Parts: sequence; structure tokens; C-alpha cells
Amino acid sequence: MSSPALIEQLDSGIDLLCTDPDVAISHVDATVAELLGLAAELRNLPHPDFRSQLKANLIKSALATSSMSESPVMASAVIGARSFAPRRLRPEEEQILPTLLGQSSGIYAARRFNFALSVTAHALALILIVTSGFWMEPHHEQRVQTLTLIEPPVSDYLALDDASKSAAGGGGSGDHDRLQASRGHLPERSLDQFASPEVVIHNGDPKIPVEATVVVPPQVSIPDNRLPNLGDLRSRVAGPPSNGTGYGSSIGSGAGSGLGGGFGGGVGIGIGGGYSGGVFRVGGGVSAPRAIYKPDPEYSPEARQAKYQGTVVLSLIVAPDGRAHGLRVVRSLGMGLDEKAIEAVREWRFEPARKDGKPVAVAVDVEVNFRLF
Amino acid sequence: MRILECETDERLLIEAAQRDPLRFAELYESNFERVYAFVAYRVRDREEAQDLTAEIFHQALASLQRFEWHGKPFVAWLLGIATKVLADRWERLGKQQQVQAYELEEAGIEALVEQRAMLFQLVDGLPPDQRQVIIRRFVDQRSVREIAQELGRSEGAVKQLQFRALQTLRSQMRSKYV
Repeated sequence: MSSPALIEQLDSGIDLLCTDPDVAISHVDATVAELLGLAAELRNLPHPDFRSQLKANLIKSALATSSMSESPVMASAVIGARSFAPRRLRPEEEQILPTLLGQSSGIYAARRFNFALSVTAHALALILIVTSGFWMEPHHEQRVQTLTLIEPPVSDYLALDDASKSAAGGGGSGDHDRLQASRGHLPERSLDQFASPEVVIHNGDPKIPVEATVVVPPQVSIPDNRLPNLGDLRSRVAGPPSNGTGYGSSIGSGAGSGLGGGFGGGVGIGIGGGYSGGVFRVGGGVSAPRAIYKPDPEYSPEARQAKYQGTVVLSLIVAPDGRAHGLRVVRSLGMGLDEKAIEAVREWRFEPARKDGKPVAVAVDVEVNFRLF
Repeated sequence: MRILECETDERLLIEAAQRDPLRFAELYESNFERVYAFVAYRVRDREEAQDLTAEIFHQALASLQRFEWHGKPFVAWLLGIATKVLADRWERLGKQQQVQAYELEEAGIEALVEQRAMLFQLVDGLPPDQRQVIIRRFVDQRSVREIAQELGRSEGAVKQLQFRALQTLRSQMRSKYV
């Protein structure tokens, strides 16, 4: 009989044996009959992993009942060293995780559907973990600072730090005289004014003598003249002494307690305290300052917790030395971000604005954006 | 199955296992096939044969301290435990009459058990593809078609592997016993 015929005959016989162990197979080739005898014995072949699993269980039992004084760690070492002497691995054991290929790894056969289901679930979980970084809300903040130089207003004047909210400082009053205020030197400058300056003194014997001042920050440099008497700096009238045409008790054509044509306690033609003409605005021959060092502002804890975002607008003066002075919040954001913006911008360094090639102080507004990404 | 070279080796190993139960693993390795073949000869169901084999070895481990060397092979002691375990099993099943048929002294039983144990051991030494076909065919009870699909081979190739595996086992069995 040919070999293919023997193979088919053997397979048919094995099919019969698997169906009915007690079946008597006759009329087969002698070789096939002998092989079928072996096949009948092989029906009771133990599962390939049963032997190793039983051995592992026996080792566990031995460890549990062992009277050795060795620790479990030592016992494990003993197992590895002598009881589990290296032996030749079976083909299934040589593979790494045979169930990855749908093969059985224990004493029970692997079900391919369950295996596929498990692989799919694990793959989905892995994809979910890997991609979670893309769709989860980020917890880090990225701060973006934008230096915005706002176009200068029509006015050439600027209110300083301690001035009123008007655009420029200024002040002045007078006796409602027909004469213009006479020219003279500038009174003392102070942020607190107790007595307004007068050229023509009405009360020559005050109960409490107080030096007359104008409301101008002392650190502001104002070109003064060296005239012996008080008066208006810009007046073209040398005399006779006059407090001017304004209304009030001071010097000038304005109203208030200052000096000049404005309204308030300052000097000049503006409103409120301060001095007109001390700081430039960008434009008209004045270049814009440029930030050259901008450390990031910190996020305040409460704003970070609330995931609060927005923009703080600060008004400031960039001095000729490149530092920011007179920082003032123009648009507030709250939750501590205003303070954080001021803290940061105070550390900024600018390339100063220039006028006629020389560094000059210039007033600018700066936007500080707080964004969470 | 590792055949112990002489009685002295086995005796030393038993004494070592009595002092250190972890050494019982070596006795287990030497006698597993024979005990399993002995049980499988009487219990046709593979799962039951495996359960009983496990019970026998656990009992042997538990009572190893009571073992006394009288010159008989260790496997004889193990098969004695197996006989009791099988008797208990049949008793539980109400089939006491069958116990008598399984006496060790029964003519030819020892040789049959030895042959079957040898056959089981030889399966482990088959080439991987042949062994895989034998395992799938006889342990997992798969059809040739299922095995062919699993292994990605033709049914004819699987049948040929099956044929060669049995031929290899037959020739090796002959060489062992001739």
C-alpha cells in the first residue's frame, strides 16, 4: 500500500478512536494497526502543562510544610538551585506567552474567541492610555506676554503716578486779576499740599505758617528759573506781581491750588496734580521702547485653580535706563493676576525710547495675557 | 523520566527529601510518568487521571517522613499510594468490585504501565511540529482540519506530520524494548 493511502487509513482510524475508544478497527494495514495501537495509548497523554503545574504545587506544599529554618527567600533560592534544575524547555515553553498566538498555556485549551476578546480589550485600553495625553485637559499653563504699544493720545501731557486720573497734570488759579501771573520760580514740590503758592500774599500773618507747595512728585525734574520771587514759570510777564487771571487762591490762569493754566494742584495746563511735559508719548519723533528682557509672570494659585484667563493692561513709563516705572493697572483682571503682572513687568527691561537719538522717558501701555493651555 | 542509576542513588535521594521536602521535586520528576500511566490505565478520563495523580503525589509528599527503605523501588511505594487512592475513588463511586482488578501483582500490568510511561516520555522528545500535532490531536481532541487552520498548513501536511510522529514513536519504542 502506498504511503498516502497509509496516511489516510491512519487518520481515519484515529478519527474512529477519538469518537469511540472501544471501537475495534479491522481491515487495516499491519503498519497502520501498530500505529493505531500507539494512538490508542496516546489518548491518555497528560496535558503538556500538567506536569509542571503539579510540580509547582508540590513545591508550594513542600515550602508550607518544610521544617527548614531557611526563609522563604532562601527556600526559593534552593528551589532554583537544585530542585528546579535546568531542564530542556518544551516547544510551548520556548515561546514567550504562547497564548498570544491563541495556543493553550495551561491545562485548559485556550478559546480563540476569548483570546481575541482579551487582545482587543487590552489594545483599546492601551490606545486610550496613549491618546489620553492628547484629549485630556492640560494642567500646565503657558503664559504669553504681548507688548502692545498703544497710539499716543492727542494730548502731549501725561499724568504721573501720583497724579489724578486725568491725562496730564496741571493747575493754577489766580485772583481773577486783569494782569497775567508774573514770572517767578517754582514753589516747593510735594505730594501733599497744605498751602497754595501766591505771588501776592493775602494773608501775611497766618496762624500756622506752612510752606506753599504745588502737587508735583519731588522726583520729577522740572526746569526752574532762578528768579527770587515765586511766580509762573512760563509767564512772559515779569511784573508787576500778580496771581493771575484765574480763579482760586494760587498762581495762574486756571482754577485750583496749583500753578499755571490748568485745573488742580499741579503745574501747567493739565488737570490735577503733576507736571505737564515731563514724559513723552510714542510718535512725533519719539521711537517706541522695545522689551528686551521679559520674564514670565506667575499664575496666582487661585486663578490657576479657577482656570481663569484674560488680559491685564498696565500703564507704565519706560525710563531712559530701560526700567519700568509708575506701573498702574489700566484694565484689571483680578484674582491676583494684576499683582502678578505688575511683579513681572517691573522686572522687564526695555531698550528705551529715543528722541533725537537720545533716550527719553516714554509712557506706554502694556498688555499681559494670561492663558491656560 | 530520569532513571535512577542504582538503588543507592534513590535511597540517598529519598533520605535527602525526608530531610528537605523541597528535594521531593527530584523524586517527582523521576516517577511522574509511571504514576500517571498507572492511573491512566485504570481511569480513562484524562482530567480525572490528572486529578488522581496530583492527589497521589500530594499524599506521598505528606507521608514521606513515614517512608522506610526496604529495598523496593520508590515507585512501588508511590503505586501503593495510587492503589489506595484509586480504591477510595471507586469506593466513593460505589464500584468496590473493580478494585480487585487493579492489584499490582496482576500479570502484565507493570510492563504495560512501563511501556505507556515510556511512550508519554517519548512524546516530549518529538520534533516540535510533530509534537504539536500529537498534542492537538490527542490531548485537545482537535480534528485535522482544525489543526491545519491553526498551524496554517494543509490538511495533508498535518496528516503526514501525524503519521511521521507515530512512526517515530514506534521506532523509538522498539529501540527501547528490543
